[in-house]
Amino acid sequence: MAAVVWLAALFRWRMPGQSLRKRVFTDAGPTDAHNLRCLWITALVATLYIRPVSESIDAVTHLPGLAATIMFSLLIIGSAELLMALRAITLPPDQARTESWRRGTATMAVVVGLFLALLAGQPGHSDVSQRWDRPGWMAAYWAFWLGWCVAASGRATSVALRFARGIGPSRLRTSMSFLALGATALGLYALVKSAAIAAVVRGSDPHPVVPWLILVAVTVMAISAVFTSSWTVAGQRLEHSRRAAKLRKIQPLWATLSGLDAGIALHPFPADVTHLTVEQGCEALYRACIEIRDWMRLLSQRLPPSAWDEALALTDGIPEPQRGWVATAGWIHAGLHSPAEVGGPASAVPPIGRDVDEMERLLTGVAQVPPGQARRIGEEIVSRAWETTR
Amino acid sequence: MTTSDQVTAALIDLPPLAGTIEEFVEAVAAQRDRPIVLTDLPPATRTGSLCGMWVPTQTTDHIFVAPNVTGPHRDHVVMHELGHMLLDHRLGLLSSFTAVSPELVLRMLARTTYSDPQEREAEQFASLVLARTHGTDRGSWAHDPRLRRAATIFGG
Repeated sequence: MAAVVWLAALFRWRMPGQSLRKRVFTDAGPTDAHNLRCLWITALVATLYIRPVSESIDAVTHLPGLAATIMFSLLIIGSAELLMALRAITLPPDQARTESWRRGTATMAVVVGLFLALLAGQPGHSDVSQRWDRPGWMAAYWAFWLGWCVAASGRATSVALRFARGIGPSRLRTSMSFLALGATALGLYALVKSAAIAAVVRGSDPHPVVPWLILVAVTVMAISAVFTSSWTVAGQRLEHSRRAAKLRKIQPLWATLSGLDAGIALHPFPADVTHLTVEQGCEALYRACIEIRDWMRLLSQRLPPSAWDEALALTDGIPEPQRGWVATAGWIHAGLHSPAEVGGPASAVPPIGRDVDEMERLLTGVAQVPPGQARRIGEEIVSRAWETTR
Repeated sequence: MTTSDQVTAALIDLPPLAGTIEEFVEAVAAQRDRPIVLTDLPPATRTGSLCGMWVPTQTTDHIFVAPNVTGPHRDHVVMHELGHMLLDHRLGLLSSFTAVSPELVLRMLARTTYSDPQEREAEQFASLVLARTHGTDRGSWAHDPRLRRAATIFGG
């Protein structure tokens, strides 16, 4: 368990480090600032959760329970930062700031309440869940903390579910589902801990199942915290590198066809696909496919109506989807090597699928057809199609 | 205001792109309280490079699409013409389209190449809306700058 806590703490420090580096080199807005503070706070909390760290803080300050109180306070402030980050994203700046004073005051009131209860109650142990000499202050201390946990659990669950319904890719929805799971575990923790603290304040021992339930709740919260961020980051990186690979494959086809009419290209092809952001990579691949498709429409004017049927006939026997790739590559070769526009009815343009994903897959496949195979099919299309036309 | 600012501003109030392009066109028409008619290009205008055209009349916006433009390419052409409409572009090629009475036509734009600034803007608009749609996984996030930003920040 200790090793898991150490690893979790180390992992949490990676993310603020990366975000800080990004923030130094980019123009960060209020959302980034809130998000970055939230990441730093999460890393600090994970570090304070390591027992030797918290015990040494209590020993140095001669104030048992101080590290735990700092940890709880940081969690409260961190959740407020996360909420402000979400508000800064979804609301105009003025509206996002509207309730910040009220929220800030409420947050500070809970934190101040925790510290006052700690100083007045003097728990005598680093573990603040053991019975204090002044149990009334113990009850007040835990009422502040667990009251906030219940409120945060409800709010985080509703925010996560709303985002999960409203926002895009499935991996982000999965990530938001992890957040909802963590928030539910926080609610379970608050419930179980309330029962345990009530028992301790009354002078009896908590039920033996309590430590196990708390361990389960904390473990689920830790897993949820790690997966909420890492699930999307890992998925995004994988997809981004796949997209970069597709861009590299499709570039020669794009470059060949761009000679037909350079005015169709909205931007030059990215010189280095590895330095594109996720959004730029997405748009670059989409643009490359749409522009290739526009150039294919120009090529259709150079080919007789039977050209696509000939391409399909010549590739009969090749399994799908390779058949579509080879037939399209041959058709493109035939169009590029036909001398002029036909003037009469043009060739059908090869199909490109039902959606953006299919279009990207197909054109990447077309770009990978060996030039020799495309040339052989293309030359045959030209000779057969023109023969049919005559 | 720069070009990208104008395009970004036009994206903010778009209805969600949750179904087919026809459903999206209907939603835009309902939002503007002005009918949009989506039809094939008339045979007389089916020249090589022309694949889409927007013709606004006094009462209706007409979007014409070449019948041999299919799948996501057709979605893109329709979105490009919607871009002209929503970016309030001005008429450029009135004389080349003789099938419609010039008295009725206020503006008309054809998607051919992007050397013209308005064509580039409409093309940017279409690309921004559609580049992040994957399969049937479409939603308001795809073109809502705030939700796209959320998706970027939280790793979407």
